[in-house]
Amino acid sequence: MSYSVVIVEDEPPARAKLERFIAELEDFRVAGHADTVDAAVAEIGYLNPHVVYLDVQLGVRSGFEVMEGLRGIATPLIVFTTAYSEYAVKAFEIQALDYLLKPYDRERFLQSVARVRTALAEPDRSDFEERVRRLLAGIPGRPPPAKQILVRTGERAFFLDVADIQRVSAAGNYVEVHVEGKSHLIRESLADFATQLDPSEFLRVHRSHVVRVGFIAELRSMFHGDYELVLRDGQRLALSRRYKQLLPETIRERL
Amino acid sequence: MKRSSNTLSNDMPQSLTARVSHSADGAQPWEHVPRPHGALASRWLGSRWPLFLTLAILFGLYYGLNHLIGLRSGPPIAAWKPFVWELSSVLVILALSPFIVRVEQRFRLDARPRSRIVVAHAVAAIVFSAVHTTSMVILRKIVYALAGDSYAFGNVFVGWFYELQKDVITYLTILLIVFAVREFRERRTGELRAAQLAAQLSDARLRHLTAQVDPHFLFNALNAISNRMREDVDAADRMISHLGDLLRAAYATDQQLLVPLHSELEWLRGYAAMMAERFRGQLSFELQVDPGLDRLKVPRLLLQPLVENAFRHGLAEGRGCLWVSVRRVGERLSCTISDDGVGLPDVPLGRGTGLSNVSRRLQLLFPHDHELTLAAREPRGTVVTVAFPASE
Repeated sequence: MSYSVVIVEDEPPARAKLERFIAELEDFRVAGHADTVDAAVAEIGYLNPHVVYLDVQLGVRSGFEVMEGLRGIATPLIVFTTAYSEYAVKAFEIQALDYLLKPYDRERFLQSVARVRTALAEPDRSDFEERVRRLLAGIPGRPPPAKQILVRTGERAFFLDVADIQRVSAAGNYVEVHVEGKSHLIRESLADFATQLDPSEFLRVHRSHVVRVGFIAELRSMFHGDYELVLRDGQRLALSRRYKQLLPETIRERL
Repeated sequence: MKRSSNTLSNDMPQSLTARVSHSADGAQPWEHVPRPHGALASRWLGSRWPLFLTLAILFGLYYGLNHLIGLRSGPPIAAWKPFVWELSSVLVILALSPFIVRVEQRFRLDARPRSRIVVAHAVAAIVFSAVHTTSMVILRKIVYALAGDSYAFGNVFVGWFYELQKDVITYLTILLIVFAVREFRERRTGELRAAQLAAQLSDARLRHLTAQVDPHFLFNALNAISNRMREDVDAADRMISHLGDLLRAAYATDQQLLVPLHSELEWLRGYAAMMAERFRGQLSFELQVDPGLDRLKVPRLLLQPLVENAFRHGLAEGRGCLWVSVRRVGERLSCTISDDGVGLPDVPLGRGTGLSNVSRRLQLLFPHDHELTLAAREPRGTVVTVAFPASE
């Protein structure tokens, strides 16, 4: 088994360095590379790699635009590379995402590889998706989250007020959006649907559940550091340790 | 995609600021450039006519009152007469003061030779007195006639001599005031201009620092070296030496406004070499300097923001060609920076482009003798031209 890698980097020497380091690994192979935002989206969409090394600064554009472009197309594991971006570094640290600060040495690269291997071995990477969602939501200059979401059912389309949404859950290829007393099915992945929601209002508490903060009634301690959430409608959801780490600090430190 | 050329030459400075300057405080750099001297006289009284007239009338009334009180022990006299005498005198002096301003400009008190200045002002004082006395007497005769009276000047020579000795004092007083005011203004303007130049230079130096020691530039350069050293040790060595040159130029702290062209081109070569390494195979840079120009003086760090712009915005994807040429055209040094990149932006150039800094510094250094043009290049890209007087 070897993992495929796409390198998104606009400076040839930086790309050459990554290629050289990756060539030394037995379980990684470089499947392709791109040096612009548009080429990266196309390449990643086409190759569907396991890992993407993504430069945060691509000329005057941003590597985050690549991630926006990938929404609904591919969900590779992303390792950010950056020469200097105070904002990005801070954001990565807050979201505990891996990044390589240029110039980096082999040792630092291998550290990151070890983390990538661990993450790739994990069947459920939904918490990584959640970290990326929050990272993207925090990027300055992004439009504010939508107040209404267009929902298409068989024969009609209507607007759903985000303020009415209580929770969203994954159901196969669909998401089930729960509004007071009823629910709507939308054909989209939970990760993609969640990008429309404000991370400070809606928490991902499980790989299959996103909940409005105000809709949580109770947090119950279970065994092994796991928790159970009780919602205002009586619904109970398990909160695993990994997702507990993603709770807002104000809630987490009281647990 | 052809766009019109935006001429930023000095014959249309207003449109220049409107387009590219975006100065934070709104101050216009040419506001404080000394005006041609001919304008000074009219400006001296120009907009302040009402103030000077009021002051003159107050002075006239004051002297008139004094005069009247001084005469109280003598034979009785109509009270309005002393006021007419003094007002007529003061108003004529006021009307003549622009003449003194002009004479002072022509024969400045601090000019050489002294003898010439003394003679000129002596003659001017006599002329001033003659005109003052004559006009004053005519005015008095008119007012007296209107009042049904008649004004007698008495013995012409005695009267004129009496007025002359007073007028010489008046002339000297006005002369000194004019000199002092002009001196003060020029000094203030000069200081302001010097301060502005210093501020612009330090702004340029800051930009320079943030361009070469911009963390993004620096760390990417280090990363490129860290890759290059595994491919070609000598090439990596050269990169380190270029980076050293750039850092040295950035840390230079001398305050010179103008530096020899060859030292200005040093950082340019280093910067271009680093960029060419970072975007190897994608970027070409060509520098063409006519021979014999090395010692000519150029504004420090003037080309840096323009070249940086061309790299950053013109060649946004890191691909393309950049040409810099420095030539002598007549009495001017002309630099052009052209790229085959994305061309002129549709929106007015932003504050961050550094172009406003360049235009302000040119305006301050060569107030009416420079050119800065920004034009579309055929078939694509941008050409920036800067020209200013060539001097050693």
